[in-house]
Formats: sequence, C-alpha cells, structure tokens
Amino acid sequence: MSGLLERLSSAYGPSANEKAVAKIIKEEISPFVDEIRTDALGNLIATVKGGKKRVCISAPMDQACLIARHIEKSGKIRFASMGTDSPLKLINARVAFEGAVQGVVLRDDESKGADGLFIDIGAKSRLEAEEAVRIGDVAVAKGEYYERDFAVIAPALSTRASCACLVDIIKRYTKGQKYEAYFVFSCQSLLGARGMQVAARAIIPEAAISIDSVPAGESSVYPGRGPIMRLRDGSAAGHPDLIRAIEDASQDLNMTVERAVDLKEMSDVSGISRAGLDATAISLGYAVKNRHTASEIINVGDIERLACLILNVLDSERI
Amino acid sequence: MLVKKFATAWGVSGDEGEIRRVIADTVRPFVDQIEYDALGSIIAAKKGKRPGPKVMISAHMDEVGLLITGINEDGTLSFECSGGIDAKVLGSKPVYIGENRVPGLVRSGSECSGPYIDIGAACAEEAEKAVEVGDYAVFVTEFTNFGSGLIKSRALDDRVGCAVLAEILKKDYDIPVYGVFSAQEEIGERGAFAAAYLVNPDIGIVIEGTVCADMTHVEGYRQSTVLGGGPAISIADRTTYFDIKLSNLLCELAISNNIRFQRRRITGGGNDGGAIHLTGTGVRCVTVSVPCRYIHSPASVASLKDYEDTIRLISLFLEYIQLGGKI
Repeated sequence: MSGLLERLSSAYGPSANEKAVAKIIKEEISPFVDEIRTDALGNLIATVKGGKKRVCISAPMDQACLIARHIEKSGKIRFASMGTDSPLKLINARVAFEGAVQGVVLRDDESKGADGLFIDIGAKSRLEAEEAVRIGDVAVAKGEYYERDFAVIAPALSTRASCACLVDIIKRYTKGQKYEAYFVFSCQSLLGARGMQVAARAIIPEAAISIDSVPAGESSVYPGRGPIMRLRDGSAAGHPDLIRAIEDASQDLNMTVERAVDLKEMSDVSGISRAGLDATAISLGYAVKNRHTASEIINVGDIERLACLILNVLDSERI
Repeated sequence: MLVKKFATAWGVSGDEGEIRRVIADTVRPFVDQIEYDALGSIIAAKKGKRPGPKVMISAHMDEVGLLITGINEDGTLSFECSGGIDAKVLGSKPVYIGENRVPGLVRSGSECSGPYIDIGAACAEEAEKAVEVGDYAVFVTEFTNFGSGLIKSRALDDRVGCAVLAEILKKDYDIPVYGVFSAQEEIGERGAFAAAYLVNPDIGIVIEGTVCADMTHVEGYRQSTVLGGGPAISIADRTTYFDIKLSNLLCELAISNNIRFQRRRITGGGNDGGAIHLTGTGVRCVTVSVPCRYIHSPASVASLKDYEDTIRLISLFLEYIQLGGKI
C-alpha cells in the first residue's frame, strides 16, 4: 500500500481537477473491475458485477486548493482558498501549481486573516509572475512523503489514504457475490460532496459506505487506534442497519472500531443524502492530524484495518 | 436596445410576471418552442438539426427588490429584501409598490422602529387601500447612458444577461440550444434548479451580471472584475467550481478572436450554475458575466462594450461546439 499511497499523495489533484489522481487509480484497478468510466464532473466510477443489490463504496480524491486570483505589481500572487477552513496553517508551506511552478505561502498583513496571505514564486515583478502563473491557476500543498513504521507524514493524506484504502479493497474484493458493486473515487468532496451527489444518482445504490478521514483530537480519535465509524457528522447520520453490520464485522475480526460524533465535519455521505435516493449510508474513516497542510499525519495500519473491515462487510454480505 | 427594454421591466424575485412577458414576446419569433415551468422560468428551445450536445444557456430574469411584510398602525409599511441587498444602500430610496405602482420612500428608521416604507398614508386603514401584504416593490431608477459607453439602471443583474441570451437566441444553430430565463435566482437559484431537470443538458452556460468593485479604495485582489475589462469568465464561486477545460476554452477563444476578457477574481457569491451542475448525473458548466458596478443596489453601471463582447464570446463558443470542436 505504501508505494501507491506515496504516488497518490504527491499527485496534483485540487477540487475540480482530480484527473491526475484518477489516472493513477484507473491504472491500478482496471484489471480488477468489469467497467470503469469518468463522469461529467470528474468522478471515477468502477463496477464489479455480481448479484442484484447495488452497493457503493466511495473515497474522495481532491485536495485543498489555493486559486491564484490577483497578481500584484511586486509579483505577489493573492489567492482564494477552497476546500480548507484554515489556510493560515499553510504559512511557510511549499505549494505547487499544475506543472513545474512552485512557490511558498507567506504573509504580509496579520490583521487581514487569510487575505493577508500570498504565494511568492520568487518573481520580482507582475510581468515575471504572469509568465509562470495565470489567474485561475491552482496551487496545492507540497511536501515530501515520509514513512516510519506505520506513521506516514505527507500532503493530501486526508483524502488520498481513502483512495489507497479503496484500491486495496477493490484488489481483494471477491467477485460473484450478491452485490453489484460500485466503487467511486469522488471529485469535489471538499466543496461539499458535490461529486458524490451526482455519482450517487448515476449508481442509485441501496447501501453506501464512504471512506473519509476524521481530524484527530476533535472527536477523541487518534492515528493508530484503528478504523473509525462516524455515527453522526454535520451533514449525515450513519444508518442503524449499517452500524450493526460494521459492529458485526468488527467482532468477527476481533478489531476495535472507534466511534466518532463530530458535528463540525462533513463527509461524502451528505452527497448521497442530497441525491434523493432510497439508500442507507455510513461514513467509515481513519484519524488524520494536521489536515490540509503539507504534512498531514496518519497511521497506515488504520488504513489496512479499515480495508479488512469493509472487505469483511462485503464478503460476509452483511449489508 | 434590448438591455433597456429588459432592464426597465419589473420582476422582483417571486414576481417575474412582467419581465417574463417582455422576454417571451421578444424571443418568440426566433425559437421553436416556448414553455413556462411551474416556478415561472421561460424555457425557449431551439431544437437544432443534431441530437447533441444539448446546451442550456441560463440567465435569470428576477431582480433584487423589496417585499411588503406588514402595514403598521401609523400607515408605514414594513418590508423584507427579496434577494441580498446591503441595508446601507436602502435609506431614502424611492420605490414603486405593487401593480398600481404606488410611490413609496424607504427610510432607515430608528433602532427601535427598524427600516420602513412611507407611502404618505396617515394611518393603517388608508395604507391598506393602496397596498397589500405580499406586494413587491422595485426601485425607481431611470435607465440612462452614463459617462462614455456605459449605462446606468436598476436590475442590470441580470437583465444584461437576459439581453445577451436573447441576442444569442436570434441566431440558428445545428445543435439543440435551450435558453432558460430563470426565476428566483436571487433567493437561491430555485428556478434554474427545476428548469435544468426539464432540459437535462450536456453543457450549461450561465450568463450573469457580476460583482465589479474596481474602485481605487478596494484592494486589487478584492475587485473581482473591472468595468470595460471585457466578459468575465468565472473560476469558482460559493456554489460551483466551473468546468476548468471549458473555462480555459472560453479564454482561448477570446484570445484568438481578439476579445478583451477577464477572469472573475473572487470566489464568493453564487449563481444558477450551482443548481445546474449538480442536476442529474452532473453537468459541465461555465459562467460568463458582464461586470456590473454597484450590483444589488438601486442603481448599477455596466459597459456596453463588455455586453457586446459577451454576446460575441458566447456565439464563438457555440459555433466551436457545433463545429465539433474538442470539448
């Protein structure tokens, strides 16, 4: 899993422009699925045929974006951030635009909050900066991938570890069950589960599990303590049938599953809820520290256990 | 001039009857079919010769205004804004209320009374003879030429977009083009949401009047757009991240045809795109706007050059699509 996680972590994929991430995933899973396609918004949807019951397992692909919106005479690039509520955490972080251009987030006015931030690409004038960056270009946090034992420190883990987990599930999923299984790598999750909203309408699942990260500390979860079941978040409640199925699977595996309630958070489940379907849904996840920075911290053991848990749910036809 | 014809018609969000008639009469000769949906949007279809891609072009016909919510004992009226209006711009503004266009004057009032509308009535009974709760009020603003090449009017957001769309519908296309003049945009994109489900497009184009704060006291990064800077191609707003490939295509078409253009440089606000792009299984969506200085106030200002270039740019985009260009 580590090799894939490293490649996914370093791929460029801000919200609404996830194609490089989708490409990596598509190459990984193509041999294991019956159908694979990309929809109008950029969701990657793979199908493994089987029985009639339509289930959907999803993972978000996007990462927080810094959108260049104004270039000043001095070459400072002012930006708007999306997909993160705390752009101030990115002060001094290295950021990368699509292609080769890199910069660093700096601050010239503490009184202005996030508006006091800018990206410095080392250009000495507007003209020079405009040669490298156009208004509308998007930068993402850039950082080295580091792994020690099970701990991983790298950018974008809060979504890409979900993707790595789902790729692992697809590779180990046993065909020929009662499910028509849909695996969705969703776009625009950080903008309010927009990708999942339209993907769900295309799939019309009866049951859905979304794999999301949970910020450590805020709901007494912590990297290394195992998978997390989200009973409630700010946008959705886990369905009782699915809560029971997860509990059965965790007992079967003798695996501890943390419970989390975090009303400040949102998951792709909200997209499924808004799609107007008769679907049960729940969000399962893993803890992440320092989210939406160049150095997010997770425990890869959590991801592996989460994959086992979801595979047990599917293999034992618990949903 | 279409902009003047549309901008002087009435149509506060939820009360689009008059503007709906004006627009429908204008575009009827040029389209195959006109339908109205239950929310009051106009769906004007040009069916084309080929099955697709089906393009929906949306411009909202409602404008921000006021809604009478109560008649006070002293004969004054209480009201709410229908659509987002900064309270700072309301004080002392003249308005016309209801079908009979009863003149009124908005006053800021005191902390205790709150803002109210004075219609010159001495008591509640007298006021009730002139207006009813639920009446809508529009601002009294003369449409005029303004400076050089500019216009000043109320409701430029989004009658300027409606005028662009009406001009676009005058031309014929091989592909199906559905012009949607949507209702209730200013109160949550309600019209476009329903209309997009009826049209079920492959591509959505939103034509807007958008924020333009190009004053010297506003920092460059907060100006959003500049008057005369050309059509503004959106990047993202609160409700939509516009399709990157199609937005870039618009920029390239502008460059190759020598049309001055700009990006909409803020990510706040929302438009019909928020509803359209999330309908069904997802719709690729772009927004092109005519910058409007002092938007969402009794009087806003737009540039005729920006308006004409927006028509040109959308036309080029449609020609590109119907010629089978890569999208």
